[in-house]
Amino acid sequence: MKYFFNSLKFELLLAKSALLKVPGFSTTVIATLAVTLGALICIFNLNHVLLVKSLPYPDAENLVVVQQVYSNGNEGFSGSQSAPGMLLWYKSQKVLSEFALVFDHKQLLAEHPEQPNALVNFVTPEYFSLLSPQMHLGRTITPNEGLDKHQAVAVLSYETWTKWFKSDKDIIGTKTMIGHVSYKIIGVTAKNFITPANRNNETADFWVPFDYQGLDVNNWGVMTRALIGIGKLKASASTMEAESTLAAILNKSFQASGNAEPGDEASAKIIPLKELILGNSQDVALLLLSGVIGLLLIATTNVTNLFLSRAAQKQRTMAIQAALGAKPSHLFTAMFAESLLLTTIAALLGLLVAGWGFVLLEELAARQLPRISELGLDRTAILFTFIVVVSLSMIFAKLSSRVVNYDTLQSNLQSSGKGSGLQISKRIRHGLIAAQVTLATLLLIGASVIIEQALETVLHPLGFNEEDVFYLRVDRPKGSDYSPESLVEMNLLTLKIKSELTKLPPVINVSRSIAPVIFKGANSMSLSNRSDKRVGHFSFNMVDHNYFDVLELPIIEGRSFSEQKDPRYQINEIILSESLARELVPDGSALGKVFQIQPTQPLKVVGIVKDYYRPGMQDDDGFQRYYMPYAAFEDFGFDIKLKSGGTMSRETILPLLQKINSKLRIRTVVSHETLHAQLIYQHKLAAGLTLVLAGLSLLLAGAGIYGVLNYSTQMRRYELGIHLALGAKTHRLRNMVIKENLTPIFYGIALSVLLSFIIFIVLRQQIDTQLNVNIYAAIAALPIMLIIAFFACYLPVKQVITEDPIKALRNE
Amino acid sequence: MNSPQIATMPTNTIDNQKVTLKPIIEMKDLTKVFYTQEIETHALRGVNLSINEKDYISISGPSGCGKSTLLSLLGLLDSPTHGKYFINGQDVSDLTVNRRAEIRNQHIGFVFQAFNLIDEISVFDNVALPLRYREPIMAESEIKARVLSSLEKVEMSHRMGHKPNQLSGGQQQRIAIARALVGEPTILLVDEPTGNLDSKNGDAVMEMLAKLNGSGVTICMVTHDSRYADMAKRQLHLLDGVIADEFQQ
Repeated sequence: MKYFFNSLKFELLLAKSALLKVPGFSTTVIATLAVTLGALICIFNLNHVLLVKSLPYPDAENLVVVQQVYSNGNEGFSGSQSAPGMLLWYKSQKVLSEFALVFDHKQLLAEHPEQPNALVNFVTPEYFSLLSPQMHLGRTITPNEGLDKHQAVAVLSYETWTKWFKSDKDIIGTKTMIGHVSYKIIGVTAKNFITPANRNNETADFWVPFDYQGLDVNNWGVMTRALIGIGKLKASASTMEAESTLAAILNKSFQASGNAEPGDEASAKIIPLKELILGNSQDVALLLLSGVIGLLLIATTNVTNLFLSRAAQKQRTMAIQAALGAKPSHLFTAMFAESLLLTTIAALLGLLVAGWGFVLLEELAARQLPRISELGLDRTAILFTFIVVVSLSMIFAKLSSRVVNYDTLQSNLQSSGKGSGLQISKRIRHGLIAAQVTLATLLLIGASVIIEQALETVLHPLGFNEEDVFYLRVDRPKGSDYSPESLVEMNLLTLKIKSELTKLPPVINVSRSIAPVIFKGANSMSLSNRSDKRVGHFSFNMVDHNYFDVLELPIIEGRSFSEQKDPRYQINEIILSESLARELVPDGSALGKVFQIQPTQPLKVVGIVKDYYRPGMQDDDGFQRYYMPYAAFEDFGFDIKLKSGGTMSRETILPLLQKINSKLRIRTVVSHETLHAQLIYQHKLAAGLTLVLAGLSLLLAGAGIYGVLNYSTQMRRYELGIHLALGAKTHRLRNMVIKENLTPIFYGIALSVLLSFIIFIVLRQQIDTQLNVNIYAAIAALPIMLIIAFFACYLPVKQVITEDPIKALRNE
Repeated sequence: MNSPQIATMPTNTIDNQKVTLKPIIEMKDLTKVFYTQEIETHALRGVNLSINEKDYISISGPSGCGKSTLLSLLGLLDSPTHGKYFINGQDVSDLTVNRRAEIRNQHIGFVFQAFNLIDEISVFDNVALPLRYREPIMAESEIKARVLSSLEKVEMSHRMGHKPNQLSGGQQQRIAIARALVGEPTILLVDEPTGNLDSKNGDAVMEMLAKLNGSGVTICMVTHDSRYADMAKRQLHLLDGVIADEFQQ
């Protein structure tokens, strides 16, 4: 060991001059490892941040999220919370030392020239004491501004302050309009405060008191995923005890509310905050990690090939050293110096590549993966890089230094270059080729399955016409409430807006609806039969009679809704999707059947409409939907069908709206095509990243196989020259060499197919959901690998057999 | 077939009393067989050999007689199939790889026909190489002193900054000799030292070896050139793997 460290400096200097003499070898090793290590460091860091690293808040491991769970017998659901339930916990629970309510909602910054939609977190003051953000300016919301205090104050994020308020240093104390409320700005969070992302991986722009959230806090029937409770368990309470206590509090009030049906029960679930933020991104992160590990294995095999070739070239030198008394450990040190130098340079370049990778991930995947802003070259990443560098260097050095056989040093010293002497043994060569082909093919098979599934989502027809259709969302005017009179007034207002919009030149048709036909998330509500027995919880929309015409969504049975001529009167009709109709009335037609949301409003089925596809739907239940006649909800939505090539913008619509009512403001104007693109973006991203990984794997594997086969063909030049000199035709030699070289490739492909099959069987047993693999997609990978392998075999031998035989005989 | 000759231990006379010199190298019944798929090649058959301090031995014989094999076994570059081999009384026939490397480093200086210098490093570093493998580790200053001394013995210190491929064959062989001497080995093993040299350079190298022996270095040399073989004090003739004849001057 002492010799190792003492001589390493000397050996590194030797290695430097030796490697400068072999620029091809050095460059290839560095380039191969730099790209691979860059990808590895980037994805390792992603996994570390998502799966291992604590959240960047004090005592993060003890931060929990408290969720309501509603069940009836075996059927239950969680994720959506009722406001009354949450408030009940906030006011009366004693198992959490601190408990904060958080509701997030997009609100319009009406006074800002760009009128952006800001994400607002409506919070109780405990939010800030739990997360302890550092402040760049001012302060956070205090208990004096907490629940029921109705203090209109606001805290901004650092990014919002720089993006929309031009980093105004005098911002504290000024007022800004968020939605319909004027808030006094009291603070700006520090730049390094990592805002916890919501379920859509969005981070808050503003924090305001919970009093202003606008939910119906007395209605147990209104559930939302945008409301969560964050807290910290008391040291004396276990998770189970806390869940039990909270469940008792919740269920008692739920049962007394009148919203509980026979058999309904409310309970509580406590999960770590980290788990909520992580969501289902763990699978993505692990998938990416397994991909880059596969890439690393291929690259390592390649570089091992190169080092073995280098060792073969240096074999005589190492034999001389052994003859002079160098022990195996001395030879190891010499090769370690070379491999360490090369892998260190590759790692430094790899760190650069990883840095770019972080930027790219943040650019492309910030909405798909949480905590992306925390990625960076931190101590863990550097340590990981160091470990990988040393490990790889030792592996390469160990394999290379074993080329000298100490029992036959004399023959090692006498080895010449005419094809005799040391070569990489055939067994090792074939093993390395087979290993590379196996890994590359496995990666290709996995990639083709992922790409196929992603493309299936991206290219799946929606079932309605998204071309030239825009969705307009208009904020409910300030001062309006939810009284019956106000609702009628709002309905009339929306009819007026609809009428005016229809008059615009590019507009063909307009329909009202409370939500776009496809968007991230869903409105859902329970449906009961006439006996008031709940038949299920389904997605729904409230739409105009001409909605299905605007979207060209076919009605396959019955008709659309009656036209609402007088908004004072309800239209007691319902339309079901064909899947829901089949589910509710498996035998016969659902037309004419009566269902209800509440007992006072029976709804008759007047039509069955075709299913449509929402990208990202987890299973076939996503097709089960129902539609009710439009009623003005929280804000106003319009589906606008334009003439071909037509377009819609805020600038064209806002003047029209404000002529109708000066308090009207536009929340969003977006085409359905854009909404569709947003939903499929993550799948496109997955396909793109997978394609890049697959491409890199193929490149590395192809280059590696070519390298080994080229080397071994060069070693056989003398032998091939003799064959040619004796009159062998080139095609015979070519076929002979290719046949020999293709053998390990076929073994590799066969092994990869077998391994894929085993992995598929194992995964099917481990994963709950059905794993569908398109066998054709999987098989498509094989010809690609074969073609690349064939050329890797063919090109080296072509070079040798087409030159004059004398060159091969003289080893020129 | 000639029966194996036993090279007898030489005697000397000190104050009119015969004194038997203890050999520094002893081989007893040494046999080496090379096995391939179908053929056994008996390169050496029961060779017995003793080498004393300050001996100058040449080993000659026709091609394939086993002389290079004998030298390889002497230099621990190869292992015998059968028999015993002692260096300074220590049995080195069956040692671990590391131990053999140590003995090669400390007791054996090898000069190869093809010089076997490393072109990537300088003359100085080539000569210093055996010292860098020494344990305990030698100080750099001591290495430098020994290398310079060794180069001076072969009159090549003025070329220590050059690379081997910048030197003539004769110069390279002298560097190889310097490298073999730098570790102050028990014995210098020389394999066809003039095989790659012209006659002028060959003469120069042989002169140097004679001079070194005169200064006390024990040398065992393989050569096919009878002129050079005759320059040694003890001449062994090998034939078909056995010592057929021995002459002593």
